[in-house]
Amino acid sequence: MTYVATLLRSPARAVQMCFAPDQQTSIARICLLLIAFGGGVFGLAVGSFRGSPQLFFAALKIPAATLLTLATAGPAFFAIATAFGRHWDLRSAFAIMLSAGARSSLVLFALAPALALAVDFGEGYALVRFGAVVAYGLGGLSGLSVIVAALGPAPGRAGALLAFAGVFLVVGAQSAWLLRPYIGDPRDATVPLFAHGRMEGGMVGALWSRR
Amino acid sequence: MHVDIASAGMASARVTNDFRHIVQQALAGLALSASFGLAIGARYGVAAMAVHAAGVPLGFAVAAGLAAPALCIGVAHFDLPIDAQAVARAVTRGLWVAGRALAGLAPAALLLTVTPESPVSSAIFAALGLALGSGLGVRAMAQSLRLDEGGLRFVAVLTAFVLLASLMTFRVWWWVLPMLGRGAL
Repeated sequence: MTYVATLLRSPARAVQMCFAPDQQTSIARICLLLIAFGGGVFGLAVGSFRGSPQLFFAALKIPAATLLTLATAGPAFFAIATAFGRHWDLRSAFAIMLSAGARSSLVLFALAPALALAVDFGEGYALVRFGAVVAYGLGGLSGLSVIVAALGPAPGRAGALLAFAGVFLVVGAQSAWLLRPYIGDPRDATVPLFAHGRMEGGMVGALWSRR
Repeated sequence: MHVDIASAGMASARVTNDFRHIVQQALAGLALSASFGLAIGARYGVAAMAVHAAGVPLGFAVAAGLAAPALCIGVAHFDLPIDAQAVARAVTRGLWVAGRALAGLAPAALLLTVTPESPVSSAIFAALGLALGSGLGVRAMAQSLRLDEGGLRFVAVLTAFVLLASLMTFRVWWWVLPMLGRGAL
């Protein structure tokens, strides 16, 4: 519980804890739980647009998308940080990444009721989708503050942040797109578990679509 | 006389060790960059993985092999206070950092090149990854040469080198990487 409060109140202090080898295992465990829980609740809110079983599919897929993003962007974070003179060990870099993911999942958890309320008020598919994207963006920004704290004030911070944010943004968006649908396209009588094989113009095309 | 021979021998050993370190670092960087090639080639099967794994380091090797001597000549021509060995060390440091960065980007590259609908999107993601890794390598090389202490002439020479090396690398990748070349577009 202490780490959760620290993560929310002081990302810099949380990052310091990530560098302590004796705390890394427990930090990883807590962060994975937060990602599963926060993402799961947000998934329930998103999936409530189409009701069961999409509700539960989305609750599973949102944390899965976060973990896929962290798993693929984690080595990039380590490599970019090292290139900019941050000589961390791999475990510390992964603990920081998981902490960023956990912080962003907590923000998703906090925003889930607002999204559920929008669905409950009968808002359309486009608005719910836009709300979910905004919530995801806010969560990402919150997670990014952990990365900023980890990079510290040493020279190269802006470059490292820019490089990593670029990678993270693209990887995160692609991971989310890969595991779609979350809300459930209104055209589908039954929402498929995955929309593979459907040509929608990629992640950008899917977001820009006015349906 | 005895002392002179001994010091000459030590200097020679130092040069040999330095040369060995330069070669090892360059080879390690090139080998690491091959992992990125494996990742971006995965979309097109095992044979393409092998082609891309060879092609990515080849681009770096050709650029370093042909542009680094040009940089040495430029540095000497303008009488800049940097010797050829320092240039070689800086170039290999750049290769090492670029290779390590590309190895770190490889999992993300695998996701971003295998899963998009369009091969053009895959090619764009691969090119962006290569550009990021190469950029980090160039940054490390410039830092190693202490760019800030070299003055305007040194910045001009280094800029010309980076342009030349970038164009050569891009050209080699265009030729040897089917994903970036005409195959994708």
